[in-house]
Amino acid sequence: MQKRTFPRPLMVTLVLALVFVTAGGIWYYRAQEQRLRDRAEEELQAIAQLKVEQLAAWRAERIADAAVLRDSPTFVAAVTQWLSDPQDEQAETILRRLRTLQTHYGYSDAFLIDVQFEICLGVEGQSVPLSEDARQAITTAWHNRQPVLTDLHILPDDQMPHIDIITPLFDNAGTDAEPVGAVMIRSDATTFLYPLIQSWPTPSDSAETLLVRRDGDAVLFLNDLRHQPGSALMLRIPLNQTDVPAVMAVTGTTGVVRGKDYRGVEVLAAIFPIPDSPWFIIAKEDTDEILADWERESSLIVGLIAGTLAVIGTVVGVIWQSNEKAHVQRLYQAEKARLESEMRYQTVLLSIGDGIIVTDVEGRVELLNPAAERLTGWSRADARGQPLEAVFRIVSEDTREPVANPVRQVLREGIIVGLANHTLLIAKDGREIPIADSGAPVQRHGDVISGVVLAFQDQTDERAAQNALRESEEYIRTVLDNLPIGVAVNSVDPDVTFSYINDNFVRFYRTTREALAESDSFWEAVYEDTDFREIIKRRVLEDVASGDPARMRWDDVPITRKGEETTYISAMNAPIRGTDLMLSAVWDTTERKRTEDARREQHMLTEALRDTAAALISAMDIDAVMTTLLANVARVVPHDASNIMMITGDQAQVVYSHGYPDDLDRPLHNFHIAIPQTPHLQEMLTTKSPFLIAQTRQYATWQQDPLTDWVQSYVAVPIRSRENVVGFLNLDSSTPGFFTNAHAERLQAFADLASIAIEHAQLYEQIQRHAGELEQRVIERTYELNHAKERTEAILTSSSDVMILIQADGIITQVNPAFKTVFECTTDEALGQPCTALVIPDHIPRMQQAIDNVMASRQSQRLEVTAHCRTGKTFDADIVLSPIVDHDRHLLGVVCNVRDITLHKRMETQLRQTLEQEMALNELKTRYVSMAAHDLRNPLAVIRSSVDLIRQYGDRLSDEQTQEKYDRIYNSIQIMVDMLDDILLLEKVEAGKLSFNPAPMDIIALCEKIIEDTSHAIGAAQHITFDVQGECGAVSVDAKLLRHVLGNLLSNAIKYSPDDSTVSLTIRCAEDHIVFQVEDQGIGIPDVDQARLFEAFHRASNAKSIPGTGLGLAIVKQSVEVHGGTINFESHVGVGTTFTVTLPRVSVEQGTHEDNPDNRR
Amino acid sequence: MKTILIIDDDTMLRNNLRMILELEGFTAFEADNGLVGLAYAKELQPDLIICDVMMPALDGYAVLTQLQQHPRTSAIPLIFLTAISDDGHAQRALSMGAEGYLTKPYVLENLLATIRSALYH
Repeated sequence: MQKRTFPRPLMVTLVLALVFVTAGGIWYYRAQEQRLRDRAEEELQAIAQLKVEQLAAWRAERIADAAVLRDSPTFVAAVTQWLSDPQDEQAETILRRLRTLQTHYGYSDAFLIDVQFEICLGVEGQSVPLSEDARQAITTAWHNRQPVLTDLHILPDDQMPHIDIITPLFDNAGTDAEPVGAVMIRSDATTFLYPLIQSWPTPSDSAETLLVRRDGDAVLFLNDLRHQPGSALMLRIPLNQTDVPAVMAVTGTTGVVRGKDYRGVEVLAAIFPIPDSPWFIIAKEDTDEILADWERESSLIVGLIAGTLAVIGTVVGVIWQSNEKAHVQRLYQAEKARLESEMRYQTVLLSIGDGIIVTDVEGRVELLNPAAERLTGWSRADARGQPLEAVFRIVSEDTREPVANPVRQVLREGIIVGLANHTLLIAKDGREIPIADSGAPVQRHGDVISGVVLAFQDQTDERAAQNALRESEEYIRTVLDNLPIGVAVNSVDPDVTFSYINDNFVRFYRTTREALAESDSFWEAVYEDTDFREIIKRRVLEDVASGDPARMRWDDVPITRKGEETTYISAMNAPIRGTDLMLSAVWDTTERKRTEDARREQHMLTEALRDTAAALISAMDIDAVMTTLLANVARVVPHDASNIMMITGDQAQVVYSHGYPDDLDRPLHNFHIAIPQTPHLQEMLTTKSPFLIAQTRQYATWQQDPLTDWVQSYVAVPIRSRENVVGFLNLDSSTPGFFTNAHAERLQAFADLASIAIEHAQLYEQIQRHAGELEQRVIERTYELNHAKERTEAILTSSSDVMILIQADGIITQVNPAFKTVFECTTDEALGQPCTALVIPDHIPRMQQAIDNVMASRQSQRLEVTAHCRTGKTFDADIVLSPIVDHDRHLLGVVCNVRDITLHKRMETQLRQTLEQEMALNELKTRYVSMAAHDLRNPLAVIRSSVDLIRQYGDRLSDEQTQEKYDRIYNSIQIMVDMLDDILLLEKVEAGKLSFNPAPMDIIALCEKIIEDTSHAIGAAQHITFDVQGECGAVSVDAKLLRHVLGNLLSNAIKYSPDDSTVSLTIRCAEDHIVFQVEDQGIGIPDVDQARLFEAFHRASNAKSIPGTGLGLAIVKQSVEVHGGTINFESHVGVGTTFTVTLPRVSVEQGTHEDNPDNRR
Repeated sequence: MKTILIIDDDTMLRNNLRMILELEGFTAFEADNGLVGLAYAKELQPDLIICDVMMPALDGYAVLTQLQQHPRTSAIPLIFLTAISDDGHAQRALSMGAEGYLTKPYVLENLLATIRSALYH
């Protein structure tokens, strides 16, 4: 196998990828390193800047604190005063202020210093001599008039770094002010300043911030160092060590620098000066720490690059490997396919049924397959190398001459060559085998022929089959020739060309072999009638063209020959498989056809008779029978015209006709034929048989007439009914000899159908007549019944009363519309229910009893019950139960008439009540009138008699007597006026028109007034006492009515009491009621009068001699009652009477509400 | 001189009537109810009695019946003088035997005519 080299494109790609990745990796490495350094520098610068700002701010705040003291007039005044005249109070004021400053701002100490630089006061009580630096600072502060910060310094006693803030104090605010002293505030650097400097914003092992200043030719470290504790203000580094960042700072370098710190370690540092101070800030970090992260990151980057290169190499390697593998696989598959193909070829060659011989280009045998070995008798080994002619010896079957070997022709011409038929192969053992063969060149590499393949086949079996077929053909032909049907083999394309015809074929088609010999002469030879020929030809060709076997049969095709009887054939075609030919069969169907026609005719006749019979049976009158007869007779016997004559006496008359010319038809109907004078009719009448005149011209007695001249043939039959001839059925034809005996027989059978129908029709007419009468009677009766029913229904429907039909067992069977309205339920809910369900349970027995009575007695019954509806509503019902009985007094049911009399009863009750009231009122009025008339007559009589005395006898009367008469007149008039007033008042009371107007008032005062008025009016001679019990106050009463009540009672008491007796009025005021009691020692009220004491006009029997109207107490009672109170009395004749009036005590507020309608009566 | 008994429960009327009768020349007595009237009638034997109908204790009809039942008084004519103006009462009174039936307020002339008629016929 060819050695495969690494593909060049893959190699180039690999190299490019490696170069690209390596270059990219280096660039990325550098960039990352630079980025890290830049970030460290930025970070250091930012921190240094931050520190600078913080320190500057810290210094400014201290200065500001000091300035506040300087500018405080009270403080300065206190200091000035204390320095000029030291007193304890001022010292305390100053110290309090300084302590406040110390406490609030966290200073370690504060001092007051006078102009001699002596410390006068100290917050912590210390008084040490000032350092020169401090004196210098104080002087500067006085001079500049501004607070001054000293530098960081260490105090001799505590060794701690401090910074002092000097505040100059002046005697006034002007520019010419003199200093009076100074305040020195001391701050501990370790407490406030150093933490500010040393804090670092990110976690770091080496980073720190340094505060330095120049100190002569060295740099002084002001703060404590991270890596060298306790070095604040102690460590100095000479300026000649220029690689130290601190030295760089004090020598003017700012920004980021590299160098070695005080430990000699490589650092990166950011340097910035602090404004307004000699200080510099240095933020620094060890280079090793900065690059520590970078070392990890750079390893990662290098690792990534190496990894990427390895991956690329691996990928390229895998691709190459994969390609190699695929290539080997393809080679393997191709080799395998080749081997399989060879195997297949060998197998085919060996297993093929035909003999195969392969020769080389010289025509020598190279290979024989087993079939060739068997046919030739040569083994493959023996044959190899032999000339083909030796192994494959062939001769002509017919001539026995050797046949030219095809191999030579193939080698010569280079084409496939087939053998001629009828070739015999002569095997090695001498067997002769008919074969068919062919040869083909074996071509290899272009057109070069490298050999020949010869294929041949054993033809022995085929030969045998061909012989058998030939014999079979001859046999079939013999059979066909002798078949009883006609057979032909022909083409239909569409010309009919016969290749075989048997004798019957020619015979059935009534033609000759010669006539059919010509191509497509079949149609002319068989079908003489050209029109029919075209029709049958088109039909047959279409059927054949359809290829549908079902269509390739034609039955009962007529074959006509002029002057001969028509015969019929049936034919069918069947395509012969594998050819364009048809097998045509034909057979004679003439006999069958004729039989079938005869049967059909018979069938039609039967049908006609049956149909006619059916029609006749359904015909209900003679007219219909005859019409039907004429309409159907043509189906039985064909004819030109027909008529029916009906016999009346000895005459016949045409009544029905059909088919006659118009000019004949009418006279025909008008013509009466005398039967005795008409021999053929007479004969039919006598014999009751058909009569046939086949040819009228040849019949002697046939009456010739111009109108009937056309009738050439005649047949007639009698129409028979119950053994009588009732008419004739006559048929006429214009064809001489048309009618036959067969027609006559058929016609008679047909006419006999009519006889039954005529009887039927006559019977039907009778029935019709009876039915008509019956129907008329039914109609009349139905009308009457309907009328009665409508009347009843109208009554039921329009009745406002409920009508219920009950059957004998008491069940409701029908209700009228009013039921629904009255009982408030639907008809369906009522039907089927017992009638007693309509009344309340208590009334069911009465209802049931009434129904039973009606059913038993057949007499109507009436009762009043309480009915109830489904809705629960009840009403008073007046029920009338009436029996329904038939003519024989059988009970059919009961009609229940229900009338709602609730309204009626209610009105009746109301009317009665009203009447009673009216009567009572009338009686009362009558009594009033008569009483009034009576009681008025007395005072009138007094008046009249008094007047009479004065007028008639005045001259004989003394003055006193005359005056007495006038007084009597006056008093009588007063009595009458009082009586009329009382009557009017009482009338108001009775009519409910008494007005009630309560109002709050002093009841005691009211009573006193009533007593006074009453006693005065009557001229009482009794002792009247008035007693009040309980707390009364204002009481709400109708003063007018109360005056009436008490006035009446008091006047009665006075009137009916003896002089000098005592009449007392007592009031008892309780919380919810007031009791008025009028007591006298008078005549008393007899027991018989007590019950009617408060009736109007009633006066006690012992009081008649005392004037009074009899109305007072009636009014009193009413007046008390409109107050909602009660009145009663206790009396004993001759002892005295006590009236007690009790009134409810309504609240004053309620009582004052006069407009309240409830308070009005 | 004729004596007349007046029986009436109305004091003023009775007084007026007595005065009129006296002025007309009669002797008059008064009784204020039926019982007293009956006693007076028996006692005094008046020539005429003028009597009210509706009275406490004993009404006019009862007085008349009692008078008619007593021999000493049965002949004394009686005139009803009443406030009841009812024809029924009048007929009843006359049928019982009263000499007259006058209704209040009476007309003096009628009263005197009736009295005279009763006394002198």
